[in-house]
Amino acid sequence: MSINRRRFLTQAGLSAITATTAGSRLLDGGNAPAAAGNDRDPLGTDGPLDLETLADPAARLAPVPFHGPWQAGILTRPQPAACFASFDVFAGNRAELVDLLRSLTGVARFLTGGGTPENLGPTAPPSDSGTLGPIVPADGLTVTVSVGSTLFDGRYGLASRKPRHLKTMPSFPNDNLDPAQTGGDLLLQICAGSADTAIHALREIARQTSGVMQIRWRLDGFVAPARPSGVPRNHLAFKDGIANPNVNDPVVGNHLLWVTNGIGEPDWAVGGSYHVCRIIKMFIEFWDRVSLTEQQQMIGRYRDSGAPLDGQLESDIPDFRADPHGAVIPLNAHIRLANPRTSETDPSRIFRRGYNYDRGVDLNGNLDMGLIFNAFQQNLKRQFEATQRRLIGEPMVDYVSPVGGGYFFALPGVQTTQDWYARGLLED
Amino acid sequence: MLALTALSAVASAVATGSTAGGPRRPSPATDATASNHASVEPIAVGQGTCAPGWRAPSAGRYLFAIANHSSRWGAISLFQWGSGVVVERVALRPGGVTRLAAQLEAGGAYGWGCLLLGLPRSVSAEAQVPSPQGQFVPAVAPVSAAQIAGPLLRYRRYVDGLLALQQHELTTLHEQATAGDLAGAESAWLAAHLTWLKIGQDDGAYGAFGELGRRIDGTAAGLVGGTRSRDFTGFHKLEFDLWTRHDLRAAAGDTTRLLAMTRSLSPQAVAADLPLTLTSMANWLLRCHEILEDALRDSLSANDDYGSNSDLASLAADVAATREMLRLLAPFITARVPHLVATAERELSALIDAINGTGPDRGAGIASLSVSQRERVDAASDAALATLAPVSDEIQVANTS
Ligand code: HEM
Repeated sequence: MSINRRRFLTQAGLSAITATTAGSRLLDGGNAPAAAGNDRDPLGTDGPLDLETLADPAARLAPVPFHGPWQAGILTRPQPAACFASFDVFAGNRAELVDLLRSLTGVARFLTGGGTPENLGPTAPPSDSGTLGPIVPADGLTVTVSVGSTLFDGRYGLASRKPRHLKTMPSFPNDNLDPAQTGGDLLLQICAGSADTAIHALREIARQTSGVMQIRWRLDGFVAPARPSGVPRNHLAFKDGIANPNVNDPVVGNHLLWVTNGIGEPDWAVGGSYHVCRIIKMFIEFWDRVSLTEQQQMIGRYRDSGAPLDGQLESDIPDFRADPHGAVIPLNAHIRLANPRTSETDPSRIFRRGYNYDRGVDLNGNLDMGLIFNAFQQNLKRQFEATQRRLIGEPMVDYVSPVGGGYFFALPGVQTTQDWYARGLLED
Repeated sequence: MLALTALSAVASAVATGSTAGGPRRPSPATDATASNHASVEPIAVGQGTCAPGWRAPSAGRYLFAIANHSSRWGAISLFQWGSGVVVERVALRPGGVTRLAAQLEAGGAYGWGCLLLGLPRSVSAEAQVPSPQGQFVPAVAPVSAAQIAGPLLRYRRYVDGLLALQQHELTTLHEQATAGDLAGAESAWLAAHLTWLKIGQDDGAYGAFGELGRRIDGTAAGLVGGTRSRDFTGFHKLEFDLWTRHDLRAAAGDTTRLLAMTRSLSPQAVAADLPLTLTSMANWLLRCHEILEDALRDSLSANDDYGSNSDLASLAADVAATREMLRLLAPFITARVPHLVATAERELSALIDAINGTGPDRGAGIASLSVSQRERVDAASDAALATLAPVSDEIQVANTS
């Protein structure tokens, strides 16, 4: 096993270069402009058009219904692209806040359904930026609106209507929260079939609301394609999103996901859900220097298949009771601490809907990437905070660092064409 | 982070060797579908029997069906015969059949370790997988605990010496702070902090000193209230007192508290914190690269700077600590990877050159370096880390119990 890593790297590098050179020559040959029959100087001839490389450029996700008892973008299977944007609100009074949420509703309703933007005539700037073409495709767009505890301060007289557990996200041990990317009055989780659709939505929303709300922080995310199959991977290369409670079952949904009547929450909040969004940076260079065995022991699953260490398939359920001493799945493995799978801890299960992020380079030359940890639950304290507390000091903490995000409350759904975001909260 | 700390007594008793690190190849048991396996190989475990008559006729993926004929809970591990490195491990329930997928490599030699709770560990016969050339690849023998005990004891003496020096430097810091000499206090802080880093203990994330290590050298990150938190203590609190707040009274009080904390790290306490267990030895080996990993994460990102601009000096101290590790472990490393120590030494020298190239006294803040100065330091530390990272995987400490 005495691999000389440096030498190995050098050799691998060399052969990779050779391969690329050969490959690019091939490509050049294939793409060479057809000079035959064209007397023009080849240097002045255009190459072939750079068309989309996907097999089916017309492929778009189907529209996701906008109206419903709860918002889209929670139970919706994670679309490939996401844009998380947290805003601070500058509405001067409650009426202006109502206006803001009404217009936000209007934009989101239009964009999620798709269609032809209004024509304002030749002299006005176009009503839509046009980045999605003249007809806006729905492309599976969802715009999920959540409110932060700061919206319930003195400004709009909402203090008595705050969801019971909503507060500023505390700093947990091992957190390294940067105030510039933490908190905010309003969080938009914008998800779509492709990045341009999500960004287009953010751009339209921002330009129609920028007088009353400003972006405090923003982060784009993506869900990777299945590699090679099953649940997609995060930047640690592990499949992420395998184990989630079955919240589509109304009994489970009403116990773990949605705020319901009779649990001590304000009436307007029924159909909403506590939304925890944490920007968790990963030290992937450090991770990549760790043996696979150690990586798998930290997570408690096999990297390649996603199966728990005591199983064969990603869908296998770990049997911690058969392994009381952690001989197979260590007692401090991430999945074991996060969900011990006991009747006492089951009520603390959370519904995760995370995204990978990737944004440039750190001061120390490391790639700046990580996980937009994104979870919904009925009760912030009983679920997210209990889970997070169990994870304090887990072996994985050396390889990750939460740097931002916040606690929010996902508003109940917009039910009809007359309804608007937060109407129950803001109307007397 | 540590495979070993994660393992229970059962697991390490089952293994015939160390489990830290483990095999380098992609894990075998990741094959999702049973249909990819050539056949199902039955393995029997019982009171006093461990996989009798098992075979490994050829290289490839196997699916083993392990039948526990006893009425006891237990675990079984497949390990590489020579090194004792565990390839796969699975728990056994009384009277149950458990499936285990594993990849057997051509030329490898394997065995099973069986443990049924309450009974002594038993080991199967060795089975060798033929290689195409008909040769067997010898595995690297693990280091015995007795062999590694010597270097670890020398390391403790090194730590003891630095702790004594640090007590002295902290006393000076206290005197300067009480006398109202800010510049004197700052230089005493620098000396004491660099001594601490040479011990190879940064904020305690990877440290043997645990929570105490965090209170001695942790930052305010993660504390409610940040720098105002009462739990913000130790070197970085003092750095904040001196460079940011110019508050010598606070500094004197904080030094007294720091002295008390470091005094509890007396030689005896250090000995208790670094017992000669398999776990502590594997943890200790990890320092070969984790001291620098720490520096890359905290110092080179300027995340732990509270005004002293001493991140580059800290990095140089971390290099010194890493070099001490290399010096102590050189014979073991060289026996396994002949040129590693020399390469690492060369790269660490290049890192020191890059640090010195940033200007006088290593006193420039990370953020104020020019892009090329910073890139040079980052590249040099990445190169050294890539060389050092495999050390803890290469040196397996044998469990001889
Ligand atoms: C960067 C940070 C994190 C990474 C890389 C990570 C990664 C993973 C992976 C690979 C899995 C196994 C696959 C799966 O079941 O989806 C998992 C499961 C899980 N994680 Fe995380 N996670 C992170 C942070 C968190 C946090 C902050 C929490 C909650 C406080 C959390 C809660 C969970 C839960 C509840 C499960 C499912 C466990 C089960 O039901 O078996 N994770 N995570």
